[in-house]
This record gives sequence, structure tokens and C-alpha cells, in this order.
Amino acid sequence: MLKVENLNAGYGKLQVLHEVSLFFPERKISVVIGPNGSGKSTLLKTIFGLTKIYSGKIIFENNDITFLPPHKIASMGIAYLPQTNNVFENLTVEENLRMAGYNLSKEELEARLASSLEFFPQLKLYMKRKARQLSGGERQMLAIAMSLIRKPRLMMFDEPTAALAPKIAHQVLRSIVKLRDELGITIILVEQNARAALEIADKASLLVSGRVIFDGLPKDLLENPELGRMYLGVTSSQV
Amino acid sequence: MIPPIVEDTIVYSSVLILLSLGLTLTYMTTKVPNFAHATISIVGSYVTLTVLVLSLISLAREALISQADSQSFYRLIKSFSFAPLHYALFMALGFLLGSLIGVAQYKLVLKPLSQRGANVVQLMIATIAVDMFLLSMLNIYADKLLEYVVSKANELSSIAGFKVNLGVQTRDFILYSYDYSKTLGTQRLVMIAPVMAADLLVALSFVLYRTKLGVALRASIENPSLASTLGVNVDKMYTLAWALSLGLAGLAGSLIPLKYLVNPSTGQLFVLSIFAASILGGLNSLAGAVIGGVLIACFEIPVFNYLSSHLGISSAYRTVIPLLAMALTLLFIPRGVAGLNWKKLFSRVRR
Repeated sequence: MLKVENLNAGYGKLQVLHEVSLFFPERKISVVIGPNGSGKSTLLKTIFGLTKIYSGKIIFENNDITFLPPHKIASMGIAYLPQTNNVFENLTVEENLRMAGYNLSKEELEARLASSLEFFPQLKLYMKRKARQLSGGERQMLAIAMSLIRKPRLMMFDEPTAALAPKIAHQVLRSIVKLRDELGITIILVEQNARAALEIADKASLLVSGRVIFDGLPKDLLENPELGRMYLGVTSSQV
Repeated sequence: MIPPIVEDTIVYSSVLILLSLGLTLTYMTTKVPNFAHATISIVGSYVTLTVLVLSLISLAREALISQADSQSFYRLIKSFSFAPLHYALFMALGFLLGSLIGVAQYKLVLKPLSQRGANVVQLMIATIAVDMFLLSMLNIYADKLLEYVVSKANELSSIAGFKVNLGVQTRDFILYSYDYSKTLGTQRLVMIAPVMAADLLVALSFVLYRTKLGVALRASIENPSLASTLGVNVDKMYTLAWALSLGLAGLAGSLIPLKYLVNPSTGQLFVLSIFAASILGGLNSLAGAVIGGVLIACFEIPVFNYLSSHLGISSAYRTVIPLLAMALTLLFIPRGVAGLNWKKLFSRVRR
């Protein structure tokens, strides 16, 4: 589905990712975890064309997307949900959703709007409300609904549960599982809440200082006593 | 009969609204105050002058073909006034030329500099450089236009057999007499400027709030990286914003010589008032720019007029008004009138 090969990237002269090579399989949830500043968010931004790539390759469905601009990458079926500022606060919920289908025909947009709202029916109540008036959880729902309108085949979430109450965070993670199970979307999930993320993951990668330390099954990561203790704050007995 | 001070306030506030709207829109997109904004509007003023020159030459040629004598020739030339088609022509051309310069300024100067990592101060200095470049171009154009007028007048003199003078200046010119309507008893501009400002405001609001393109433009302004993740070509949106903004400046500028004395550097007189209107409006709000434009016009004309007639303050100090407005806004309401909590203010006033 998506392959990253020997990727070196960063911001200007500041290199954050070093020789990162990863594979994200189709219709699976791949979780990327790691301590603060490890380059998790930078990895997603780099895949989406938002950072400077020094060398390496990013292949999506056999197409090289390494140096494509974000709007081209978006049109290929990849959605990226940033950690913050993932909705337009000064636009209404409806305007946000319509923005998500910017490149669609009117008929297609109406159809996708309806199916996206079926996935998050609670948003129907707030259509004329400005996004800044929504709660944190509702905003995440709106951000996901916006992505769904573009029928992505791959969705990348950057810490979707950050600053959410545990109950709401759980709901958001359940929605992500539903995206995989019901819509068959491939998910790349970057999370600080490693334990919760690994519970729903099919594959896990651990990044430390911009390098891949672990890449495999979540179970194996959790069972690795050294990595679990150092980077996840868990021991194998907690699994 | 409208009192002259009211006429002046209506025209000045209409022009300021159009100019501050444009400045605000460019600031919202690139976060750079465009110091060339006012000079670009003067390009519009020279469009109006050019339309006048070409119309007068064509009228003179027709008069001479019908073998008019010197007296009837000058009567005809002096009786020339702008027809609705002229207004449509110079406003449309002013808008178009302003848009083209705006797109060129964004694409050739600001975007490449931003991509090379220029900061806001460097970009601001670049807009000053664009202002100087345009000022030089306008000076050259004023000279070339004068040369053209003189050569055409000589050509017409040889046909007429008497000395032809079209009475056109390309510096320190005012086109008041070509806009005067005997039936209205005043300038047509007094009607045209506010109607044009209101129409453009309605059109701009419609585009921004009721069309797909407008929503995408607002989205690109608020959060460019998110807009690009949704498939919006943000660069195209910014180009559109610059074209619209400087188009409005060109259009406003095309109306300026109908009321005010213009020369290539007239923009420097307007720049303070435009910035004051935008800052007072909050710099990030189009509605604020409108309110700012009206308030600054009111402070600069009726309020200052009252002060100068009652306190004997010289009109040379009028430029202090926008400076004072800017300083006080930045000191007490840095987010401008658009950032005020009006509900709270009204409830306090009621109490």
C-alpha cells in the first residue's frame, strides 16, 4: 500500500528523519509510536509533502509520490489529519464538510456528504455551527468526516486523541477501527497513548530520534521487555 | 443639494473602503503589509487620464473633420464629460491593470522570496521596493503620455490651421470638470462611488460566503496547510486574493482623479489613511476594513473640519489623524474594531 524507503527529511537544515524505511499494509491499522520529538508527526507530514525531503522514496500503490505537492497527494487518495488545526474554525460544520469535497462534482459531493454524515450522525445537529464552537471530540469527528468525503484509501492520523477526555478518546479510536472494518481504509496512526493505540493496531513501529527501532507486530513490541519499559512505560506483565 | 463636506466624506469613505478592503485581503493571505497598495491604485488614476486623453483626441479629430472653427472646437472640447461607457471603461481597465500588477507582485516578488525563507520584514521591504519601482514607472508614463498629447495636438493643429491645445496635464491633474453633471448639480462621482463600493461589497460577500471558490479562499486564508491537504491549490487561491485586492485598488484609483489632485506620488498621501483604516478595522477582518474606512474618512473630513474651524488647526495637520488613529488602535484595541466584544460593550452601555 504505502512504502517508505531510506527516507531522510526535516525542516530546512534540521534533519529529523534518518534512513527511515517502513511498509504500511493495506486495510490494516499501523501504529507509529515513540517518545516526544522522535519524528512521528514529521513522518506523516513528510509522506504528505509538508516537509523537506533530502533523499529517499515514498511509494503509494506503486506510484512515486516523494516530491509531489500536498494537493496532488490528497487527490491520489491519501488523507492526513493533523494533530491540531484539523478543521477550519471560522467556517461552519457544513462549510468544512463541503470544503473537504472541493474537487468533487455537486452531485457526488451531496452523495458523499450524506454517507459521511451517516458515519457521524451527531454532526447533523451542528451543521450551521462554527467549528470553533464544537468540543474537542466533535472536532475530531468533523475532521474524520471531512476526510471521508474524499473517499481516501489511506488515512493518516496525527495524535487524534491528544487533549481528549479518556471516554471521548476511546470513542475516537473506535471510530478509527470502524473505518478499517466497515470502509476498508488503510490507517497510519501516530499516538502518544501507546497502550490504547497498540490495542487496536495490526502493525506497530517504534521511532526514536528519527530512526526506526522496532517494526513488527504490536504483540512483539509489548512483549519486548526492554523497549516496553524504555519507550512505552509498560512491562510484559501488563499486556 | 448635498453639502460639499458630506459629498467629500461620501466619496473619500467609498474610496478608502475599496482600498482598505484590498489591503486587508492581501494582509490576510500573505501576512505582509503591502506598501505598494496605494501606488498601484494611482495606476488606476492614470488609466482614467488615458481614457480621457484618447476620448479628447478622438473628439477633436471628429470636430476637425466636420471643419469646426477655433471657437466651436474649444467649446466642444470644454463641454466633454464622461459618459457611462467611459466610467465602465476606466473602472474595468483600472481593475484589470491593478489585478495584473497584483498577480505579478505576488508571483514574481513575494512568493519567490517566501520560498527562499524571507521573513515578514524582508517581504515588507520588498513591497517598498515594488512601490518605488511603480512610482518610477508612473513618472515615466506621465512624461510619455504628455509627449503623446503634445505630438497629437501638433498633428491636429496642422489639420485645423489653428493652435490646438487639449488642456490635459499628466501631473497635478484633477478631472473634476469632466465629471460634473448640470442636472445633478454636482459630480456624478458622489452617486457612483458609494454605489460602486456597496455593489462590490455585496459581490465580494457573495463570492466569499456563497460560492465554493469563496469558501475555499476563506479556508486557504485561515489554514493554508489544511486547505492544501484537502486538495485546494492554495497558491491559486492566494493569486486570486492578490488579483482581487489590487483590482479593487486599481478600480478605486480610477475614481480618485475625479475628485482629488493626482500626480505619480499621490499614493503616498493615501497610504497612511489606508493603513489606518485597515488597522482600525483589525487587519484580519473584511467587515472591519469597511468600518475602518468609514471611520477614518469621518475623522479626516467632518471631524477634522470641525476642529480646524473651531480651534484654528491648519489643514496641513490632517495627516496626523490617521497616524493618531493607528497609534491609539494599536495601544488600546490592537485587534481593531472587529476584535471588540460588541455584545459586552452594548450590555455595558445599556446598564
